[in-house]
Amino acid sequence: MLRGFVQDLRYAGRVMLKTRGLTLVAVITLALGIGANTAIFSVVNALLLRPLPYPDPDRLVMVWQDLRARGGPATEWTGPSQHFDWKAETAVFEGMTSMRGWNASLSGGALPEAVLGEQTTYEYFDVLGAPPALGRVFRQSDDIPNAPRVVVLSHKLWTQRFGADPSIVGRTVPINGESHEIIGVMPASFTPGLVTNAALWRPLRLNPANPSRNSAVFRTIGRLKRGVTLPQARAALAMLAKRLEAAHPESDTGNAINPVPLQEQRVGTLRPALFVLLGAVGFVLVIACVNIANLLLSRASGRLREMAVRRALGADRMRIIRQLLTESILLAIAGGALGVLLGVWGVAGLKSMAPAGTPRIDEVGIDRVVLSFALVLSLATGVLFGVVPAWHAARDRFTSALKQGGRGQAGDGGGRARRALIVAELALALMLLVGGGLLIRTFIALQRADLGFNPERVLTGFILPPGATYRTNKQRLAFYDAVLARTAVLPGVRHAALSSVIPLGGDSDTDFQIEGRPPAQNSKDALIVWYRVISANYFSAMEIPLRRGRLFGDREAEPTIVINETMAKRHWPNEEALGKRVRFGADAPWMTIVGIVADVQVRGARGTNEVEAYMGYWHNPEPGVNLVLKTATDPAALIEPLRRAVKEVDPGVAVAGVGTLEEAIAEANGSSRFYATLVAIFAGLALALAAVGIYGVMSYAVAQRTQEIGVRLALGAAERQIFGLVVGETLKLATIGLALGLAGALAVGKALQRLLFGVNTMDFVTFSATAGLLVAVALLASYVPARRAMRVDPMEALRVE
Amino acid sequence: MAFFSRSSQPAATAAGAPEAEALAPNALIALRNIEKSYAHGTSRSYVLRRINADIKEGEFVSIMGPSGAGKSTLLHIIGMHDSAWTGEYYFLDQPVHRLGAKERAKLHKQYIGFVFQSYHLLDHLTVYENLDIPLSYRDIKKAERESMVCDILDKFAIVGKKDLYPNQLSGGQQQLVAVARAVISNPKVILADEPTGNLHTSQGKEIMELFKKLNEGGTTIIQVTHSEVNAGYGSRIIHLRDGWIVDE
Repeated sequence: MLRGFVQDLRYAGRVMLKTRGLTLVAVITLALGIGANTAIFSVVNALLLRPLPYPDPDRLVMVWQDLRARGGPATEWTGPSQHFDWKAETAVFEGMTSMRGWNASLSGGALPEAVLGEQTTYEYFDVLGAPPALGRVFRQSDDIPNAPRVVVLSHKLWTQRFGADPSIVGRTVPINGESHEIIGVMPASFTPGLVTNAALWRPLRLNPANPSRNSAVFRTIGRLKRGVTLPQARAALAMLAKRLEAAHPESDTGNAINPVPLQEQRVGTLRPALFVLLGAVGFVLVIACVNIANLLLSRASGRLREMAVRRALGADRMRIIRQLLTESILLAIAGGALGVLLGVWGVAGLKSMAPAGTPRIDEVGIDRVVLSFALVLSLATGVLFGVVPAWHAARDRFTSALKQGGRGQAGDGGGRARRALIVAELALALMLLVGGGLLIRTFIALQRADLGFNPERVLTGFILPPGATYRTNKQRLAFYDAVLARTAVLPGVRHAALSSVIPLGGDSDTDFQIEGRPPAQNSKDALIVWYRVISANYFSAMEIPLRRGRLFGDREAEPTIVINETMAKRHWPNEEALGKRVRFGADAPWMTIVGIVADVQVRGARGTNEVEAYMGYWHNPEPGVNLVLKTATDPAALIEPLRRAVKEVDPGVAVAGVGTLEEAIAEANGSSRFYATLVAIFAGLALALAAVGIYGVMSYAVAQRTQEIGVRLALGAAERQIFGLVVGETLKLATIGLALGLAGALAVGKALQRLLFGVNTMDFVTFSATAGLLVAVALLASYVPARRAMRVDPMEALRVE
Repeated sequence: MAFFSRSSQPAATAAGAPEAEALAPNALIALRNIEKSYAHGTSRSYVLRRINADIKEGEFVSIMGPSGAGKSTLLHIIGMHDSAWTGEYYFLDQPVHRLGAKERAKLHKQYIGFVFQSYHLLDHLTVYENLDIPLSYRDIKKAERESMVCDILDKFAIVGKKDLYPNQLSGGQQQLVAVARAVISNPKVILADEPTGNLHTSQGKEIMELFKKLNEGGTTIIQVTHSEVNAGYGSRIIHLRDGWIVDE
């Protein structure tokens, strides 16, 4: 048996070398298919399959407020009350930590450095199971109100900013105007819990006494007790929610608790897109296999006499099939090896193309799992594309091949099988093309979507005056006024405005009350508004159109607000909203609605219209705001002048996240662009492979039918009629392939539904354009064989007799 | 200085190329100094040499000679499948040697029918469809084609076989269909390349009788054959050897 296998292997190697052209085409075709699959699988492996880099990662859950019972989201952020209430549920959790993002300004350099970090409860590192590389992590005593400020550094920040100083622990560093003692450094392998690129951490210093019950500013991670399953945790937390509702009906009515496995939380949203990509490369591989099967079928037809002789000499069917399968598997392994090399290159490409903020993208690479996947895939494809030709060659009707004196021809030479494979190939290619087309149309629709403002030449950056220095509204107001005054006179600036919220930059909501209507008795009935604190010229800077009423004047003393159209329609559907008064909190002053502006898609094109209100920053100077500069020139040229202007006002305040709004929109559409680009690349690859397949099949068919064509010419067929014969055959195959492909494409459209925007799953333009493209490519691929058929010399063709 | 690969020439033509003769009256086909050769590096091997022949309308001509004499090549030149030759070829007074591919194809379609040794029926078409093929290449309307095919099926007594595929017929039946296909467009001349080569004697006789009948009906027949018996059906024999006409 083993000797037989070795013999098969040796013979297969010789056949591969003998038919170098075919081997090369097959190996390259397969390498493209396996390379694409390896690259995409490496992403799936890193994002979906590989466990999170924490000890016992299965026990980590993100814990959300579930507000669906009161019309809210299933994954609402948490606040101090949730942290303390839930943490006390010790039967479920071994530990729990809450955290929020932190815009830190590190002073000391030429310009203060804006660094992203996390503010966490002291349990953070313990819950994640991450010991420090240097010093220590937080203790409970660090996390109480007015405790001395301490900070833990990331390995990267320690290396880059502090030169990897081993004696860094114990030193102090000024952050946001306050001195912080460095107590530890995390290892380079540590992955932050919330902010992917967090560079430093400090305790939240929450007050456990009387915590706020109405704020949602944290994300909470819990570590389940060993042995506690997710359903058990859900059941226990449902009971806890009921107890909390009974104890705090005004704030907790309708609040449930929703634990989600951390792995699912991190990458769950990527799953549909990754499956789409896996599907796309799977199609490419199948098409590659179909092409190779066709090549092998052609070769098998040419070797019928050889197989017949082998059968006549005593080889049974299985022996012939084994021989041919060995050949195809050897071919597949060669293709797989080259494919892995292509995959390495593909992974590098994918990582550079991946949209900003893709979780775990740094972990993507070719590891043992990916290599095993490639090997299994290679073996499977070897069998897949080898089995049809092997079966064909090992048929029982071998005597006719012997009788024909070695012309290597019997029956239709696998023509039917070849044509069926081409039809399948065309159908698959069309499905991919439609998928790619729909995603491209989505990307275009997102790019062209009217967001309600004009992002052209707008530069934004976030400033956070340190709370330790700017304690009062008056102090913050003075700081913002000074920043606005300095930035407004920068050359090239047309408007210098500010807003607590900018599009694609997060949001904040609060509850409000309408004058003359009964106030809500509990949180379930509260009216919610997404509010923005802005300067008066923000609307001009963003070119947000006024629909009715007026905008407020700069420093208008009267308490006035401007609302958006959705708020007007939702809360005053049959009456004029202008002149009505609302207030944000029971003790807050009533504010009069003076204007209604157009809706703005703050969450990007895929967002929905929300209830929004704008108020003057002089009434409520928020702790941190976004600067918005509308420029007359290239906004990117104003990045450094902006930083310098802010430094002139306060050398300790850095400008974080400086960038243009157009970049922000491009980044928000980055994932759509990424998927559209990849699927389009794969669809292009599929199309090219399909074209090669059609060319191969039609060339072979013409060669097979040379005699027939000769007869037709001898009987008076014109060249154009012979051309039509070949092209017509292609057209027939293309039509059947299109019909099947269109049916499949409808399913593809449905599968992509969640990723689409501004385009129907059965978009006529996409379907007709891709079908047209496929037919054109099919015809083009058959052009050369058809020309060859036209040039058949009937005398030569008929001379075989 | 010529680079002939051949050194001996039959005595009859050894004196050199004869002057081009005037066209014979009533000649359907007139061949003058037809030559065909292949280049091999600096040498050239000839398949046909200085072929001069006239074939009148209504003749039944057999071309004979050993294998490799150039019989089939001559037949294909007459059939206008081959255009790579030199000399003059007149078909119904039309100078074929001066015609372009399209005009040759037109002449061929209008006047010539072909019968092959291996029948060359198209395997995936029925008898009916095989007969329809030459008509479909002549832009004849479908209704007219139908009646022509039915006529020929009737004439050749193969109506009962019209829906059969070639592999369901015997060799003789296949050649019968092939002859029917050759005559369906009513050609002036039928070119037959070893039409009985693959048939039993009795089947071959049947086909030759058919040719004779067609010839008596006015169709010119030119056949390539090895068989003296088959050649006996004709009125004239052209003998070829090494590309030369050696006897007539």
